[in-house]
Amino acid sequence: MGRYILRRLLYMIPMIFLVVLLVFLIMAITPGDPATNNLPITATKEVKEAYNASVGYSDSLSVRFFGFVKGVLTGKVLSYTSGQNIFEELGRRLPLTLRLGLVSFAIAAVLGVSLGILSAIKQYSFLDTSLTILAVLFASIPSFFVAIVLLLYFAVYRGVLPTFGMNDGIKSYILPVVTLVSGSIPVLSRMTRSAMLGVLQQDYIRTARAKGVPEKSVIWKHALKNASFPIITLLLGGLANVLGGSVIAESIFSLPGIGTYMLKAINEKNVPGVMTCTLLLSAVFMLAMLLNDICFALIDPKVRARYQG
Amino acid sequence: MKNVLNRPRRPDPYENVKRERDSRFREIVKRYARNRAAVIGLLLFLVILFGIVFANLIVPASLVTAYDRSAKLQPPSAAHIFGTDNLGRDVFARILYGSRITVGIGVGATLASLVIGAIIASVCAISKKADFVIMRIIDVASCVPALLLALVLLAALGGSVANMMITLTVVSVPGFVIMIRSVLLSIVEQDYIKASRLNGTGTLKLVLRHILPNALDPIIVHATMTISGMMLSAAALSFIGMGVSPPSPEWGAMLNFAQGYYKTAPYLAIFPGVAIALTALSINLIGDGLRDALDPKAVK
Repeated sequence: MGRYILRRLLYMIPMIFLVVLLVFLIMAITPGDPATNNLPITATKEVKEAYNASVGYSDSLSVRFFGFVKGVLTGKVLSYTSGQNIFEELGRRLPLTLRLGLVSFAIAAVLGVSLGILSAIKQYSFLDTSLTILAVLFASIPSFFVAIVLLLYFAVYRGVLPTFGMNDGIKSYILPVVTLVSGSIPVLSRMTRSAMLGVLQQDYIRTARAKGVPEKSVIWKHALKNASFPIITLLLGGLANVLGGSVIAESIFSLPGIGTYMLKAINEKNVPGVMTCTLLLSAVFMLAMLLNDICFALIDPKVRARYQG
Repeated sequence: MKNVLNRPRRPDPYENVKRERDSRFREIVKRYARNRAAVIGLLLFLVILFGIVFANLIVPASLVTAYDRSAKLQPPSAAHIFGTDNLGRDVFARILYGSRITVGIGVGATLASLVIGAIIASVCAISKKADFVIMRIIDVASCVPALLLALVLLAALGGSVANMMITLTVVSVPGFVIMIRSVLLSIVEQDYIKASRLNGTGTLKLVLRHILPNALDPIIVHATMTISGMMLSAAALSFIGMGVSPPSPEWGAMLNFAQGYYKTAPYLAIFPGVAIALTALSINLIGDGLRDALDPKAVK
């Protein structure tokens, strides 16, 4: 297992390299350049060319790409727009996005999974029916619209929560977190419900019940463990999304996080900024997928056996 | 002539197959009709479809852009049932015509990814070598953060309806390939495919007549569900100002535009948002209903 994990980690390096290269090439062949996107429209051609040359955009593709790779290895990638080290810029924004993302993830995971389990145990009850209707409803309402409605009611109409920014302590987190959670809870609870229902019909559950295993243990140990694969995949997908998934929430509430940085870098054609974000997001994504496989191996001895020997 | 008409009909060799196909279709319809939520979704979608097709019979298209300076930011009234925006344009007309754009993007991008995905997946199913190469590419492609890729493409291509469709298609093709391929691979292993291959059926005919039709059910369900997802993504991208740009009555762009008027005219945000949610809801209900009707054995 240890060797398998090591191999996967090593395999990540060329994969990330390719992903970053792909994004770099897309940005290179598409129109637009840092000067046009950032200087005032009145700037002359010479000024623009000088700007592009000074940030290094005029260099050849390979110089730019390998300059970026070298920058990543030495920990110093300069932004086209601010001239600062992108790692430092992102570092300043990271805590906000992480706090927002992790809190939302934790709430969504606990509520989504437990509501799904509850729905499955009490299939066709009033609770199950209403939860299912709510889940379908919230899966159809875009989360940014949920945010707008909450913003209209709590911030504009009642005035109890701030409309933007992070200056009101915990109050500033409420609306962004609800926005993020409103999209993920229904997905999680529906998936959990269907996975649990599939397992609860199995013979071994009937056997466990017939043996006199307490219902609690049947649900939490026998059923949940066997239903956990799709749930884990979904949860880790959510965890991988913590860094990049809050673009829209951050943009609605004008929060200075990774998401708004990414958006700004794309609009300003700040290629190293976009590439650094790509690097971070794809690395987190691949780590989450690895974690996913490790979890499977920990839960299921059959999967574990595949990695040994 | 008479003789020809009265000639005893030659027995149709496929009659049994056809009858079976008919009865299966009827059974699916029956199962679908029993599902109350799915029927409600279908009715809701038919109403929306009616609006999309007959928009110009309900209100003239000129109202989408016609502005009336004397009637700016009016709350809903008898003259303007959804009110007017800051230029005095009728919000109802804009939402009605915007449906063509938003739903069009969802359906168009889904169809495009479906066709491209099905072609790539069929190649994977036929040739092991191509499959290996394609899957390595898909591996890399699916590690590219989707939202970031969409934003990069939109920023570079510029915000228009066509570019939105292209972007959403590019982003969702890998998912379609993975999904369709997994269905096709299980079919390729079936005996009837081997049999028809031994019969000398050409590869193209094999794919089009025997492999793809048998994979249709899960693909249809997946595609239906994707339409609403695409619509929501398109609206979200337009909402943050990266998609279809504001003069167009795309619903997300209308919501973006409403941001400046939360205090004075909150209805500018409410109506397009409700329109998106209702349309997505109807499509999701249809998708759920189709899934249950096509595969009654699957657990809900």
